[in-house]
Amino acid sequence: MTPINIFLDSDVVISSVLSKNGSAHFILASSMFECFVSNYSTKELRKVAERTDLDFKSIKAILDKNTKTSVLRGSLKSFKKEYGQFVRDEDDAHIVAGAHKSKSKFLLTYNAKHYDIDKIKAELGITVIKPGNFLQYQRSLKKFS
Amino acid sequence: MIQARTYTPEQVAEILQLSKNTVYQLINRGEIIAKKIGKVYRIPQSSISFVFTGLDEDIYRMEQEDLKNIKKYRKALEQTRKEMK
Repeated sequence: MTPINIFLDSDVVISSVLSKNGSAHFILASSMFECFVSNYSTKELRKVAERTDLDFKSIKAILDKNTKTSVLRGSLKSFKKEYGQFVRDEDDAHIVAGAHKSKSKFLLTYNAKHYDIDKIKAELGITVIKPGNFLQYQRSLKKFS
Repeated sequence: MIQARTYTPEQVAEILQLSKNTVYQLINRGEIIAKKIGKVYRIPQSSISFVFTGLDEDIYRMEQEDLKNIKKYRKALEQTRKEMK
């Protein structure tokens, strides 16, 4: 069975580090899904770790083991220009860019309200969804029990 | 004191808009977890949690676990994105 490509917003990656009992960790640890982040995701996760008590080594270990990196070539400014129309705050544009470039069908985030979900679905074919809802959807398709 | 809510098969049938027979069939197939007490069934709220949360009980618990933890880091992530060049 071909794994489903999904792109993870950084809050989902952080959640997977914080608890092994949450939806985020379950998804990352599952072989049913091909999880992607971008090079900008890694950069911002490093910076978040620097300003909080998060251990970047743990984040890096999870990223290295369970995700692929979609390399975004270009500046954040260019992503804001191209993908800014899909987000409420242009600072989130690189997440949509990463999802698009990685050819993901789903963008998993705990901040769905930051994204123009309908426009992203209509124009990019990507479903923006919370991890729990994604798991529920997969269960309804009997991808897991 | 235990406050957990349970439902009768008839109540669940009404909530899920199913016939009573279908609910009994689902109980027999194990798709709705119920407890037989004497001759009657009682169904815990967790068995039909998706009615209230949109998620099955196990997924709902996993979701809440993540949401509880992420709150603290949300601001840091937003601030980081603002500052990134």
